[in-house]
Amino acid sequence: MTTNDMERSKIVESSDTIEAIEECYRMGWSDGLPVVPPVDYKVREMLESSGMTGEEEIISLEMRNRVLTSENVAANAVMAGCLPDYFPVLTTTLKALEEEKNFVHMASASTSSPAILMVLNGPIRDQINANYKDGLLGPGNRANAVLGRAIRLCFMNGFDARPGTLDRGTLGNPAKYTLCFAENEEDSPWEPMHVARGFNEDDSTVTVAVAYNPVNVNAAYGHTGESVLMAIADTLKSASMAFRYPSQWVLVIGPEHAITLNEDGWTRKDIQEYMMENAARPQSELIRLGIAQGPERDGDDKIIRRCAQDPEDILVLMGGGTGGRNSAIIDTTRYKIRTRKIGT
Amino acid sequence: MERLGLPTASIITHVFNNTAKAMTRMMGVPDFEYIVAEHPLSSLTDEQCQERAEALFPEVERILVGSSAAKSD
Repeated sequence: MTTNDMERSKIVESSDTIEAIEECYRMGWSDGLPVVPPVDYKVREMLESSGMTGEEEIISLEMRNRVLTSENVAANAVMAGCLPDYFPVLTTTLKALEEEKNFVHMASASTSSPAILMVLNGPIRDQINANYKDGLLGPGNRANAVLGRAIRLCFMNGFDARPGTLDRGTLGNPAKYTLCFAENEEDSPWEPMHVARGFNEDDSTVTVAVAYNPVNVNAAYGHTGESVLMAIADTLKSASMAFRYPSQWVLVIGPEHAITLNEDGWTRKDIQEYMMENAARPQSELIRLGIAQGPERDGDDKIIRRCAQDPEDILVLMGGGTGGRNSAIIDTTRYKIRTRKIGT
Repeated sequence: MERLGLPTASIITHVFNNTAKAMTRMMGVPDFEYIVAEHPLSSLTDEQCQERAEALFPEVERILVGSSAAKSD
């Protein structure tokens, strides 16, 4: 096993596979779950599939004096369980994160425990069999499970982002294990999210956010599109979300909600505007809740704080299975959500 | 910033001491001096914040310019 240049890196000889997995634990290379030992030939295979040598710089974090090369990323990708075809998704995601450096640090250190969100669009979804249907936010799919995991392992092993020392997340966040899924473009009433964000339908893209755990909105009994949106907006108004106002949001609309919304004529733009209008609270309430800084002044009840600065900061996509009427809200940080073409 | 020639006085709260130590080691300056304030800060009133800042000021001054406000009193 080898990883180059990383602290705790070392070439280790192991007599068998199980022992090699245990050695990875001893080296501190795991997120708690067993990892695939990063044997040299698997790391090379990962790199060669993308035409990389191992020397390329993928992401750096100056304040930790660290640079992650393609070899470092490949080693963590192998450990996470990635197949070579997944590798361009990882490098594109890491480069997108590096476009706003402060958030590389924030995503690995903050007390609020953010995760890295990756949403896949375009042909890549089926090329790597990513899940965009039943249980897309949960376990059971290799691509969804290991892509997010690989990013976190890069942070943990590359930037020493381990709980209690350099990762100071107060509570942690299960989405830190992985938060990766694809959009169900085929069944969506709306154009694919990446097309709405300026890409061609046949482009493969990853949309990257520094984000928190999905919050499920189980609006089972409403018969209208507006009732679905009311439930989502009401959740967006809660103290746990309103303290981020204005922020950026990813709304994962479940298929049955999408059908109802479509039948009632709600476009993506309509949904975004509804949230701007209805996911809003007076400043005075936010101060009383202790989620905005006081003291309260005259007129604060007239100052309306909205969930986002711009409707385009509310990303709307469709995904999930049928049988239930659920959608999810994913709240994010101030890292500007980016969509990038994979492999460029 | 120090490496760019800009004198700095870094302040952390005491619960981040181990994180600060880890950072200084990673940056290759294990002896980098920083100021440790009492935790927490974000829940203080404006007045309490002011008091805290005043209490820390001599240390900030000492690190930045090598003297202390107490000395000039």
